[in-house]
Amino acid sequence: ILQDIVKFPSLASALKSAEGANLAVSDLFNRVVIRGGKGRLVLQDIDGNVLIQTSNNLQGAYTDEPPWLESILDGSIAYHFQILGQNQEYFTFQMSIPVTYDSGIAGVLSAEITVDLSQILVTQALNKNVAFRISQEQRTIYTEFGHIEIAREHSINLDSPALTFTYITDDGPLRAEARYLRNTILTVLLIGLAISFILFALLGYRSLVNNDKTLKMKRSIWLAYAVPILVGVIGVGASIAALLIILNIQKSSLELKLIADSKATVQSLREKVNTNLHTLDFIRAFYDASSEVSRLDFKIFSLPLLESSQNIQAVEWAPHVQHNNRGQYELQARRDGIADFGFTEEDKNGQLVASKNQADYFPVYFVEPLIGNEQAVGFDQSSNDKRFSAMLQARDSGQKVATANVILGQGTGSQVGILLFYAIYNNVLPMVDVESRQSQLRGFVVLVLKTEDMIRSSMSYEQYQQTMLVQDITEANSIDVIFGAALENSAFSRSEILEVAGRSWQVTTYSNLFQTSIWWVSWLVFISGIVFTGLIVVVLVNLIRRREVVELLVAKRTAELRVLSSTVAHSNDVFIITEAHDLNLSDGGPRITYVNDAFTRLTGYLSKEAIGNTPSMLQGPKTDRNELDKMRIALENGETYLGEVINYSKSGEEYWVEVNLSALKDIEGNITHFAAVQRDITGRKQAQKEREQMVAQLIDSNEELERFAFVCSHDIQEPLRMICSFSEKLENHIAKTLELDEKGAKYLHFVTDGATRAQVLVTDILAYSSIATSTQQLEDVKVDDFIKIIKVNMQNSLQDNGGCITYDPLPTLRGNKTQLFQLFQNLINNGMKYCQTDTPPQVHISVKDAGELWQFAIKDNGIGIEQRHLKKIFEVFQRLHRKSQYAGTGVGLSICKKVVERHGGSIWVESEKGTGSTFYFTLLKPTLTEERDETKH
Amino acid sequence: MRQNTKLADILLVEDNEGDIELTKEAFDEAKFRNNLHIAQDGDEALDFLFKRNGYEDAVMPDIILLDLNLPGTDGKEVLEAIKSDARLKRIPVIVLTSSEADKDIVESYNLHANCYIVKPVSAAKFMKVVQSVGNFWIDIVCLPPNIDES
Repeated sequence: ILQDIVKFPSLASALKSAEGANLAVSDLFNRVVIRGGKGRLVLQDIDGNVLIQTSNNLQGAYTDEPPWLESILDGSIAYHFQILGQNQEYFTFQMSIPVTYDSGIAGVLSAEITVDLSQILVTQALNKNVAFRISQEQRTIYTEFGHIEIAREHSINLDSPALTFTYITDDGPLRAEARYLRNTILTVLLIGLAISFILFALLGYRSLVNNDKTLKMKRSIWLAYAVPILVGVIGVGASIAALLIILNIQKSSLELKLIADSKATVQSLREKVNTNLHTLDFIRAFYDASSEVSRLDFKIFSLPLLESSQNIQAVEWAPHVQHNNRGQYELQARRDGIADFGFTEEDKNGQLVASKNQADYFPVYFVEPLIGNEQAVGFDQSSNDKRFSAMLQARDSGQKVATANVILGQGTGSQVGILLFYAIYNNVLPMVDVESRQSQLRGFVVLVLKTEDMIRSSMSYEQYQQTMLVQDITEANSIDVIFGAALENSAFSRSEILEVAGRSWQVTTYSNLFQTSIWWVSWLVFISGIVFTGLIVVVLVNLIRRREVVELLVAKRTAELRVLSSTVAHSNDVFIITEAHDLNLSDGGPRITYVNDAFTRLTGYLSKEAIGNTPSMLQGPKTDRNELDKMRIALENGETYLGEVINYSKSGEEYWVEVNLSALKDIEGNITHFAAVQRDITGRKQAQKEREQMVAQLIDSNEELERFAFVCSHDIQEPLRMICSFSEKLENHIAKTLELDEKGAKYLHFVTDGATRAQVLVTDILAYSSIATSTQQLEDVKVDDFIKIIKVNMQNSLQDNGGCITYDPLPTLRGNKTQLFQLFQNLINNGMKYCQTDTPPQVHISVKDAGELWQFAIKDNGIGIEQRHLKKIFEVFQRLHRKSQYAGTGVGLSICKKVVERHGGSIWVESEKGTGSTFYFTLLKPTLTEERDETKH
Repeated sequence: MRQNTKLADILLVEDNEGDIELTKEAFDEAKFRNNLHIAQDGDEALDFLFKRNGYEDAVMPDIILLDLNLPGTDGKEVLEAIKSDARLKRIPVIVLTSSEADKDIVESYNLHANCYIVKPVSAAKFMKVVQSVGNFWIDIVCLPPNIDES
């Protein structure tokens, strides 16, 4: 609008004459409507004096030579833009441009414009959660961004005017979504893991191992473990599903982000394009305002424009030159200092050659900056088809028209770019029809854009690494790549159409970034799901396994118990099991819960009669109450009772039992039952009784024997002596008769012999029996002395048979002297008596220390004794030989045995027939004999 | 009768010479022809019966008169040995002893003694008992055929 205004000649003349009150200008100003409101315009002359102002409420500073004014006046900036303030969604800015007249600046026109932000920031409609901020030095305007939770800013800095354009998107929803997702997943995971670990801890590990190798699984594994297998399959399936779902959610979440970024990128590019297109507006306004533009004017005007944009390769002026004016133009250009200037065109080989003659030319007449664009100077734009078609379109439409992608001849290398044409007409007034445009065509202002640079700079703020492809799709049959390349197999792509001065650009962004980001969350979910499933399966398997183990254990124990109970049931011992509580014996004691078969056999009670009853049913008058008390005390103390009592059977018969009572405890150690094992010992008791009777009888018979011996000693000796004496007398008396009567003599001999033997027998019996009754005092006896006496006594017989008696040094004993003498004498005598017929008898007495005892040995070289007779030789009256061979009554060794036993020793014999015998006997040592004797008394 | 014409072999196991004398006289006066063999102790009796230690030519007796009270191997041991032998156990064993103890009687019969006789104190009775035994076991009883001949 401002540029339209500055074209009015009256404005320039007003400035020239400094007529502040120029009515024509005031009238013009008052009619200017800016953005639907009355324009607030300020016109200043080159001295800075305000000539006209349409409002008194101006916010900008115009007087006192503000720096911007000077910059405009000295041509260093093309315009001035100043943000003045913001009121809600409306913001006010100042725009000042120079008013030129005859290639010189005549003044400055400023406008303060208030606009709705949403109208200028068209991109606001793009996304609801988008805000904008535009800053210029300390001043900032912004759209409402209260609805933005987490701002993400993308800024573009413009140099001239120095603006920072900030585009704010809201990351809040995305982040919140991601956070919510992550938190949900983590919570579920933690709960799941916690539950599984608790389960595992409670049930799992305790019975993980079954050490009992004897337990064998019987059931089919598949059947038994169907549930855990199912759970495992479901768990793995769920984990995979969770993984896929989360991956999908994350993917769509990231896609939203990428879409937002893509939109932002495209928008940024769109604004870049628009900014650059705007440059053409300035140049066109410049031409519209000036009837004649010199090469210098063009340079001066375009320079700030070039500075403000990095992406412009060149701005050019391509005038419409008719053939008859060609020479004049070429001459003028050379005059302006461009040597060898001529209209050029490309030949078939792409070489620049002088333009062929033709009716109309559109040479590049002015070009800024010249440096770097020398080749373009003089180039007939219409000679290139691509450019020419764009030029025709621009001419006929009056709009800016872009070419398709072209190779820029100028610049370093062969850069790709586009050319933008804007037609300039001789008549400034708007033209409505194509014909007038064609006839009034003055030339074209041309903008050469380095598209690659422009597009690249628009991507500068992207967060994610994106690949971008920009294609010109205006002509469906020839699609040109303007920038970048497609990303093959990309995970994400998005396209948007961007209208660039009559051409359609398809902007596509690609991204491959689905592999990065927070993928670990989904995998964590998956792995946790698998682990969780695994734990559950382990726990389930364990539970099943444990149940089986328990079942098998029960079966095993049951079998064991069956064996035990069968053993108990069929035992010959009586088993009685009672409850443990109620030990009150006056009440009969605890109730019976079990009896075995032996119970019935022994007592006559059936088990049904016994169960529920108490053991007192078996007790009777002869049952020892003391024993019952002992039982009770033992049970109360949890001890075992072992004793014997009399019980009564059902028929009242009494019997002895040996009772073994014990308490049965449960796992916690509480006594639950008492078990009584009763063994019928009536037989044993009977045998014991018989034995006792026998012992008593034996004692009686011994006493009888002793009495008998006593009688013998006094009364029987007498008649025997009578027989002996008188048979002797008879023998003498009838000696002559007997000489003839052989038989009679024999008979008489039997009489005498018998009587004599009876006497000896009686004497021996007396000696034997007197051992037990002797009251002789104990005294010390030297065994050596005994032997000496015995030797003296036997002196005659020793001389007869050449025998000898030897002895080792012998100890002193303490005991009954007579009896001990008898012992030694009998044994030595025996040794001498049972001698071999052809060998002189030898007897040797030795002794050995055997601790508390002396062990004597009396060894002979006699006839010996057969092994089978060794035991009986110590019995009374036992003889091994006929009287005709060896005389004797069979009492001697019995006496020895009795003497030894009375002195606390024992006697035995070792012998070999034909070699000799050794009689061993032990006797207590003197001190011990004393003690023994004392205790006896 | 066949027994009257046959010479009866009698083994007397006895250590008392008086009893031997009486027994001899009793059998001398017996009606049947007999041949009295005497063993004075248990070992000698077993040697005689098992034909060993100098008795290889001994005849197998028809009856055995056995005293229990013998030196060395006593009468019960001899009785047990006889009744344990498959051939000898057929020979009737008449226990002839001075013991009246029940124990001895029971034990003897348990050892399969064929009869148990207590020696009478009187010589006349003694001889009569011995003769009765002889008459009964030699004349009346049917004895198994002689072992040596069978």
